[in-house]
Amino acid sequence: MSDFVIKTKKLTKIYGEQTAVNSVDIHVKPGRIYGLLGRNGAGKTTIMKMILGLTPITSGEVDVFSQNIKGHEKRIYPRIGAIIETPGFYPNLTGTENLEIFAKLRGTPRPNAVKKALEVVGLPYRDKKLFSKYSLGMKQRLGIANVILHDPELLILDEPTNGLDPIGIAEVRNFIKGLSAERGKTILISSHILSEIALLADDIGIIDHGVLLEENSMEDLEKKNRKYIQLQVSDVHKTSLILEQQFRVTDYAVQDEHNLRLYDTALDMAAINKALVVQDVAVISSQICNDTLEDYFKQITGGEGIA
Amino acid sequence: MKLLLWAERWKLRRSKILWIAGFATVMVALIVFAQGQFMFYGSRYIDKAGWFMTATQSLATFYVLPAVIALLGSYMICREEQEDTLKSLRLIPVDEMKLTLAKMALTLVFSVLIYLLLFVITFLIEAVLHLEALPISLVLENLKTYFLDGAGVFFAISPIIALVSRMKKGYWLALVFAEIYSFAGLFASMSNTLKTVYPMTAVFNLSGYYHASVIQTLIGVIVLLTCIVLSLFILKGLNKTAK
Amino acid sequence: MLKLIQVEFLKLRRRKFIWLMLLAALFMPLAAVFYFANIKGTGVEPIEFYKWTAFSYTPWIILPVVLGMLCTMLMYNENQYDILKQLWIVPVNKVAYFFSKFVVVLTYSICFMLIIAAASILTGVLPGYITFDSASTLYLLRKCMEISLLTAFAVLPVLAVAAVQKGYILPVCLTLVYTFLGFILLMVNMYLHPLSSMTAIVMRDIPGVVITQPLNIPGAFLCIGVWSVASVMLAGAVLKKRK
Repeated sequence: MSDFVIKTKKLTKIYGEQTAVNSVDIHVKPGRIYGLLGRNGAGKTTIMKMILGLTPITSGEVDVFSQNIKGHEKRIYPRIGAIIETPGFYPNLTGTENLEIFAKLRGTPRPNAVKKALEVVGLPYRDKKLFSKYSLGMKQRLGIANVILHDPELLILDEPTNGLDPIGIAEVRNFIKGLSAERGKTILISSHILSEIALLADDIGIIDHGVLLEENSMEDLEKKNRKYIQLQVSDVHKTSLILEQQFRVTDYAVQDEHNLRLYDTALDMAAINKALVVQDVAVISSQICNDTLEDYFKQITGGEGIA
Repeated sequence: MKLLLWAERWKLRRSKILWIAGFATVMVALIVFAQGQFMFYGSRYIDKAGWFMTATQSLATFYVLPAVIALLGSYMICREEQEDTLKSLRLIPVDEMKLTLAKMALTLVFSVLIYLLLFVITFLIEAVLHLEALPISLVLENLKTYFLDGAGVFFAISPIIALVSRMKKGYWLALVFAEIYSFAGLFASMSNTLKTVYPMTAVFNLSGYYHASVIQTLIGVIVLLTCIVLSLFILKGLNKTAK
Repeated sequence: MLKLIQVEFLKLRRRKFIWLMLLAALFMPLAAVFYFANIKGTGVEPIEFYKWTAFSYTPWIILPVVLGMLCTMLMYNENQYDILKQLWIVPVNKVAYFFSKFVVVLTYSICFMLIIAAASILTGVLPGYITFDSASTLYLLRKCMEISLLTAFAVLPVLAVAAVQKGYILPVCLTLVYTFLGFILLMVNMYLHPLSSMTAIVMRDIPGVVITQPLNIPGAFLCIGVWSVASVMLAGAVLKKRK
């Protein structure tokens, strides 16, 4: 028994010569939103497919709800809702008819599940429009509706905001947050858009070229990128002396002859400035900065950056 | 299983394929009707009571309908892959074997329906032309022939459909196979032994179009059963390799 | 124009099925081997043998069906993957586009008949049914060329329908019905349908063929011409209207 809804151990996928996923260990905790972040082709979709048992695993293990999914599909699948890549539906049917097929096949108990699911994603119920006439955004919404139809405990969403407009993205984001916060769903979501993951996820896994570079909670990541005051002065040595002796500041870093960073943002900057000027140190600029997640990712992916 | 059949029916709503298949059936009847205008030793084929009914079912079976039925079956199977709904179905989870079986069962129903449609058309035309010369026994005999043709043709081509569901994108292959397969029946019918064991002509032995001995009919039944067992085996293999 | 045709052939890369379909060419030669082994025995006139392998069911049924499938495949792929709109903004002229597809069909047809010719000679000479001589071989090659060229034109209507239509089901069913119609009309009126007109032209100097209707070569060419022009115009008009 583990405390994770999804746990993978040394998950690896090799296509021919190419290693698409290399020894990935993912840990998704119950009730949290886990964001899988990576560039296009980094291996996000393959990981999700392997978790769901849709593609054979080259080596490694996957546990979902502490069970091996293989052979337990009948028990595990009804507890999962998943969108992989773009959702497929029958083009000659309307959205409602499509969902009704899936609802029936799942044996969904709630009678108006289809209607409710459509309401949630903001699509009309019993509309005459055929799926083949849907816009990309509508297709994506229908896919999400299909995922929540049977009220699963675990959602696996592969780029769910792909093709949505900014308003749609915000709607889906709020909706996913709501699912997690109000109904306690566990969600594994992938995206190549950093800001999206940053706004949404509780935990984050960064994947690049099939390798999981970092797995951490959002809080920890934010701590790593704390705020600081960037100080540009004429003389760093003098400045550090003043800081240590007069203000008892030790939490700072000298960068070069003119720049230093103060990590305590609660300092009385006016007083410091004044003291520096009085002692003949010219203050060229002082500003509050913070390292963005993006800078951080650039750093760990070796400069390529993400998104 | 009932649920899957219901879903399959539902998925074909507004789909043009049924109309097109129906259209092809009607066209076949019309074309054979045109052939009936052909003069042979001073009399037209069509004037002979029962000719139209008999000729239509055999010509349709040799040239057109098996391919149309194979198209129907393989379309239903291949669309899941093509419209990318298969992965959603697998996540429900739906057993792929059962899914394909449901599709096959529906194809059988369509196959019989297509032949019955053809029967209705030919019967109506015959009735308009010479109702009084049409004994009820002949009509019933033909009804039986059409019905058994419909079922038999499905059994004969079921391995092709099963094979398609394994190759996923090979519905083109299914069509050409089915066409040549049914067309080869023409040649098989030239030799008495081959006629008995070739699935396509075995259908005729069974349906009563050919005057077959009891043994030939029995062999026909066995051949067709072998076909369906073969397709079940192919499908079983599919289930193993799919994962 | 030349570039367009080149591109068309590039598009066929890795389409295994198109090459697999060429195997259908072997069917009639093999059927002939079976037929002559059972019925006729050795020492046949080469022309008599070729009539079986290359001049009968091959142009009537097999080649049109295969070409019809090819037409459908060529068009369907681009419709399905939404490539057309990218081609239009290149820009590619719509009639030229249609024409380049036709060149592919024509080339394929020629390849197909050449394989038939080669297979006919091999299946005839190797088991010793016929003796190899240059006169009959040249005759066979000339006839195969005639058949391949004319049939390519005769399936233009299918290519046109495949071009103006998004699905593959209608063109495929149409191919079957169209081929069947051509075959049946052989006995009724040869000069209504391109495929039966094609047969009339090909049969004009094959010894030992009984034709029930008077030969009318200009009429046959006229029929093929009218159908071809009508198809090109239909395809051109619909493609131009569709933005």
